[in-house]
Parts: sequence; structure tokens; C-alpha cells
Amino acid sequence: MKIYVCVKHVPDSAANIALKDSKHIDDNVTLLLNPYDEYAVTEAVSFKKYLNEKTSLCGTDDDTEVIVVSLGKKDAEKTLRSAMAMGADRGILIETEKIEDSITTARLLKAAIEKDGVPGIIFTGRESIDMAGMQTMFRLGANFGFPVANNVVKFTPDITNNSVEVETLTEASGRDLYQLSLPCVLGAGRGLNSPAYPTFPDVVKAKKKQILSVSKNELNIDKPQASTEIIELKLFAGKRTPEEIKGDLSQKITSLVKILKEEAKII
Amino acid sequence: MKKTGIIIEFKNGAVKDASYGMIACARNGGGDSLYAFVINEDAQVHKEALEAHGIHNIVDICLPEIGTCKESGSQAGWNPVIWSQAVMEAMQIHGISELFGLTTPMGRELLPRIAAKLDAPLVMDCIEVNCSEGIVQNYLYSGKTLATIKVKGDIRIYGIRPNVIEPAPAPVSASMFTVTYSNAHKNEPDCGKITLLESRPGDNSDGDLLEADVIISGGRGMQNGENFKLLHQCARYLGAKVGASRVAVDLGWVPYSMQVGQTGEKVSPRVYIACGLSGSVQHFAGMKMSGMIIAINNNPNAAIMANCDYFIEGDLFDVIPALTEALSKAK
Repeated sequence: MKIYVCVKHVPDSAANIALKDSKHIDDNVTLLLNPYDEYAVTEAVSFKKYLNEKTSLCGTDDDTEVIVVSLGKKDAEKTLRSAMAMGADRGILIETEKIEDSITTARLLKAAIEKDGVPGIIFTGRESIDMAGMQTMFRLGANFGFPVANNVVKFTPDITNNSVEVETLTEASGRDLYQLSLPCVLGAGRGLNSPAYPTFPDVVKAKKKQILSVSKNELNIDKPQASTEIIELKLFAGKRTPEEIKGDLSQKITSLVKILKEEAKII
Repeated sequence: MKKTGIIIEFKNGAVKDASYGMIACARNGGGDSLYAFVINEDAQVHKEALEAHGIHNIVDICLPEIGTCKESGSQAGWNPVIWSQAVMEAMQIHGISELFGLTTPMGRELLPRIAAKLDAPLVMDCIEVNCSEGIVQNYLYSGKTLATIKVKGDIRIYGIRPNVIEPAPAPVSASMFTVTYSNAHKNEPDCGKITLLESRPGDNSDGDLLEADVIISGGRGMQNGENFKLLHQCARYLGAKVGASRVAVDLGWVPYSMQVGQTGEKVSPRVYIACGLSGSVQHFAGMKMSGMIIAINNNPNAAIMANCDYFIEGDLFDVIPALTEALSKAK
């Protein structure tokens, strides 16, 4: 089975963001594998192990592989290497200089996956921390005609029935339980597993794994009629001027209650 | 005439305040004919409330084949696959070209499913929408930038961040319509490939951070999970919900649903009280949009003390119980 994982190269959440121009950030910051995608890669790798154990019992050939796919600049190779250090077998980079919106991204991902093979299942993270569009997995599913579940926190394959059961996280720790037939698209949420940091030998091994680069033009997708485009980007510091509430404990509490009552008007 | 559909969310049998804020947003944005989509609720009961906020048409979306099991915390008969199809039917019947929903767990399921099926543009977590221009604003890059986004398409879909837009009553009278789910989707490629087996509602006592007016959060300084009861006691008098930093969640003190920040909830309460919490960049990504930030910390050098509206330098184990006591007396 071919297990695809779509991953994104995003600015480190701790990084300070600066602007290059009125529409783009200065990408001279640390970029890395989107945190939610770590759960996706980890689950894909453990699913591969599970399938291998199953097939070795049946005596069939092992052709299961985990392929990570990313869309971005050349530098996104680093994120593919990180995913390969976590156990993915090879990578595909769709090279584009532009920030693509979700509609185009989903079309390009589908085209690249189709060019490579027949997906048995596709994992993604539940959202990217830079654009937080929360929709690419649904578009990818719709483009393929596959069912989709997002924010998956539990994954149980049922290979004899060619389906999977998943639990998704809802409001206030609630859970929805779904059955999906394979192939499907699953967006991994926090809690699905505990991603392990790759060891040094894993990192070395990942350097030798193959990355196939394809250009956006090569994939020749239909240009969508609809789009979302960033027309302006401004820094949002949200800088505040702190004022200390002073005095002994009872004075502090009196002042605090007064602020809550008269200024914030919440009591 | 531009027709705007709005997916109304309910809580405990009433329209959520965040839904009223979303209606105000749709109205300001130039929506001249507003359709409220009321799914699996008695629309008649909510007619007056919706009219008071400027809704011109109420569409009662009935899903007859899905029982009426009423679970606490979630809306009756919740099923994102069927609900999204039912909303698409209502949109088609009424010629809706703009759809609004909240960026809540419900909206995060429905809006992208609909956008994907219609191949329509969608922007989640909008803080402002101008419908006539198709221009929205939201925060990108972990809340560190404010973006203006142009949305192009025959049908445009907007997910609104709860709580950032104030409700603004504007009474009109509304017409009532009914749309009955027709199961016209059985020819869709993914039909029958996904089944909701069970929906287990969450625990309301620790949830709902997204729509809370006031949040009191604890971090490493809480020392253990047991101590969070101090925050819960105080929260009761403040009408607040209790949140936490990632550290408190990672240490197993409180559940993930309480986490505020980059990989937790992104909240916009009127008041955010941070107790024993240093204020990492990732935490700020989740709460910097709060109206007022009050920090209580014994470390004057904690990052949060330099980027809040008010701070108390002191031991939270003294300050919080004293505040709770003062509030209990004030009642």
C-alpha cells in the first residue's frame, strides 16, 4: 500500500516574524515541519509497520511505503528530510516560489500523488500553524472523491473490511467516532500519538533517501476559478503598556476588583 | 440582490452570543438579505431573537431520518457529513452566494466540507468581512501578522472568529422557510464511504474557552493539577472559564481542551487573567487578541509582565484566594 503524508514547511512558532514587503514575511527565519504534521508522519510510519506485520503473516510481498509530499520552495526539502528521519521512505517536493492558496495546493498535491502512484491512504496535519486555513485535507478528499476526517486523535485500521475507524476531537474533549472506507484522508490532531525525536543514525539515513522534485508547471493542473489571495500583511505586535497594581495584599485586591468592575465591567 | 446564509449555533436551547456577533458581521459587510440556517432546532422558537438581530429569512433545516436524540453540549442529531450536505441544499434552493459560520468545532467541520464540495474559497478565523468587496481580515503566522485577504469566487465562505464582533441588534421581521434534507447526495463520490458511529459529548465544565467572556489561566506556577481548583473557585465568581498553558497540559495537570496557545485554542475574551504563567511566544499566539490581560506572577521578569495591561507581582497562592474571597463578599 502507498501511504502518502502531506507536510508543510512553516516558520518555527517561537520565531520572530519580520516582513519582506507588504505581502510576504521575511523567510530568513527558521522553518521546520509543521507541528501537527509530526503526528501525521508518526501515524503513517506505525501504520506501515502494522501492515508489514500483517502481510508477513500472510506471506505476501512487502511493497508498503510512506511517501511525504510537500509544496514550497527548494528549502522545504529540509522538512521532507525531517519527515524521512522520522521514518518516511521517500519524498516529493512540488516546487513553487509563490504562496499557493488551499484550492491550488489541494489540486497540486492531488496531481503529484496521482503521478506517483495509487494512494491507499493520505495523512495530513489538522492545520498548518502559519496559514491555519483548516481546509486542505477536505479539498484533497473532495478532489479524489475520498472521505475525510479531521482532528483525528485515535486511528484503528480494519484491513479485512478495507476500512478504518477513527475518533476526532470535538468541543470540550468530546469525541466523534467515524468509520471510513479506504482510501481516505485523515487530518492528524494532537494526542494521536507521541512523535519521537529522530536519532542521529535516523538523520544520517534520511540524507540518503530519495526526494523527487516536480515543478508546479509540470503538474499542469486546471487553473481554478476561485481563489484567496493575501493583498496586505502587517505585523501585529499587540504590544501593551503594563501598569503595576501595587500595595499590600488587600490593597492589591481592592484595586483589582475595581478594575474588573469599572474598567472591564465583567462583575 | 446578494443573499447571505448564516449557520446559527445554539447552546442549551438558545442562540449563542457568538452567532449574534456573526450576524452583525454579515450585516456590516453589506449582506442585504440575510438567511439564518437553523439546523435540527425548532426555528419558530428562535424567530423573535433572530429578527431582533436583523435576520430577514429563517430557514428551518430538517433532517428527519436522524432521530432527535438530544445530548448535552452538542446540538441534536449532529452529523457533519449530513449537515454540510443539508446546508448546501439550502444554499442552492435559496440562491445563497455568501455563507457565514463560526470558527468553532462545528464550523471547522461544516465550512471546509462545504467549501471543498463547492470548490468555493473559504477563509477561517476572520475578524472582519467586507462582503461587497470580498475582502476579509485575519491573523496569520501564529497571530504575529494581520492579513487582508481578497476572496474570489461565485460562492464565498467565511469562518468568523467567535467573540471578536459585538452583537448589534437591528429589528426586522423575518419570513420562515423549511428545507427538508432530500438525500440528493447519494451520487456523490464519497457517499456511503464515511459513517458517524457515535458522538460522545464533551464535558462542559472545562470547555467553551473559545466563546468565554473571561478566562483565568494557570501555568507552571500552579505546581500541580489539584491547585487548579483555586482557579475554578475564582472563575465561578467571575463567570470565567479556566484555561492553561501548554506546560500544564504536558505535565498532565489538566486536559488538552483547556490549552490556550499556538497548538491549543486561540481565544479572544474581554478579560484574560494569567496566573503563574510566563507568557511564551506560543502562549501569546493564543491570547494576544484578548481585550484586557491581567498577569499574576511572582517573577517580575516573566515575559507576560512586560506585555499585559495590569500585573500583580506576588504569589498566586495568596492573590487568587484573596480575590475569590473579595468577589464572594461583593455578591
